[in-house]
Amino acid sequence: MTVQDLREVLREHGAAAPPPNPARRTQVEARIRRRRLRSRAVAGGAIAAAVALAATLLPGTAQPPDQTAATKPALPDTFVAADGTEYRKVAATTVVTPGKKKVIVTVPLTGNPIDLAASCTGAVRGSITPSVAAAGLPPQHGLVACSKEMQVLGLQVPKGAGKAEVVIDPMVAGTGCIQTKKNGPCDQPKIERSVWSLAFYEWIPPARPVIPEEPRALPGRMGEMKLRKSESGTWPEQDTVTFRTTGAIGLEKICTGDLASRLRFSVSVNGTDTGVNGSCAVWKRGDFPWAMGMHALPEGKTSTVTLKLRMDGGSHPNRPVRWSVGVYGK
Amino acid sequence: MADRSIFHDFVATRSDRLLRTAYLLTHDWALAEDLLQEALTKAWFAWPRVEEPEPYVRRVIVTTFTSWWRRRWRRELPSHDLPETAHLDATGGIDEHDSLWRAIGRLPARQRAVIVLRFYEDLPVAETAQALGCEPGTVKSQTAKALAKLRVDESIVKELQR
Repeated sequence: MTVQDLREVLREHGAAAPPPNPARRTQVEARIRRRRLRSRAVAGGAIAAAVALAATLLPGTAQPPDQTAATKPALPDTFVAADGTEYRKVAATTVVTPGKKKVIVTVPLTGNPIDLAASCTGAVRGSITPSVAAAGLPPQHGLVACSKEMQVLGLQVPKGAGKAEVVIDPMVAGTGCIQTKKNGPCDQPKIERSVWSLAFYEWIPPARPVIPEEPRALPGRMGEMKLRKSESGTWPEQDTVTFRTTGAIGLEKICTGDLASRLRFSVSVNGTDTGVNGSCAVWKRGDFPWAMGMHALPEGKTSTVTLKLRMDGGSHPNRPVRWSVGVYGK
Repeated sequence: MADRSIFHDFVATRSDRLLRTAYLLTHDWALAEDLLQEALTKAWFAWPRVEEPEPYVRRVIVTTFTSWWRRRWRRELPSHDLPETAHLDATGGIDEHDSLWRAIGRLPARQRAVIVLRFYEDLPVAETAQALGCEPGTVKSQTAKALAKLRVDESIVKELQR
């Protein structure tokens, strides 16, 4: 292949009409508002911390330090998920980021699935994410961003083992430089300190399957793309869905259930793996969370598109996920 | 210096072009939209200091994309290994271009960014280096590595050095 082929491929794909998004302006405005609020919250926390520090330094006003921003947030010893699954803490640690040394946590295994929960205080903007990996297993998904709200992540652990060593890498991410003036310096954004409380929970599923509500109906039209076909099912009973269609298509997937965001769909066309391995959107309120994956199928010739479903991390038949997949085309 | 009053016009008129660049980086329209919106949000805060909005937003798209890659936070998970040979299946409709497109999607983030900036945006080495915040020599070496992985004929040396 030649460089010319490479240019042609890039131009072919770059010339494709992007899925229309009439809500882009309002979505960007919402992101700006959220970022402003987060900046204010962080600034407010810093001021509160400074005030607390000043108070401890004043003569005759010594007080215990206040629990303000950048202190270790607490995670419960037990909690119950919406579907009745009971979570019990089996190991915990605290990680300060950015950091250079990896933290290794030994997690006892009893055969029950293990989830990792995190709560974080400190820097939000330019936040960094610990990556979690278990020996001998494929790379885990990391945690998205520093948030006080508890985030729960499915963890893949070795089957049949009595324990697992989980490595928390407090790497600094997002250090690409920003150049604000033409020919000016490209400055690294400052990475501020965050304190992550991490806890490993084993969970015991409900005694009977808890069937989630049906996913909302997929939109009949998204810009120029119309809904051609759709299929629905419940994982794990239905873990494959097949469509026969033609031409350029977009695939949309929405799911319901406590483990909905962990369901992943790999796509193959005419039996050939496309390498696409997408997650499922959860649509509870607001605009449809479009996440259309585009596939250029041959025009005038019917192709078979197969989606195979798998769960990322621990799963159980009593925690099913209901899914709905739509094929869109012009 | 860009006036914030033109920000919305910029979003309306330039988004599709920038979204295509984001798509070539992510290979997924949803991720591309997310990447574009993240870059536009970052750009809004820097807007009064930005002299050339479009190159600036493109630069933020690229740096944000490479930082996402480091965080491994993305919806799509391309495999690490390239196929030994390209699949040539005329009956299935998967041709050399499809194979090349998928192979681009398996490149590491920085090499993918170099390929998109150099061969889609047609940026010379120096501007690509500026966009990525690295040395021109790094751009050349990343280009060579990427082309080798893509099994693209590197005989057109001028392409790499310009």
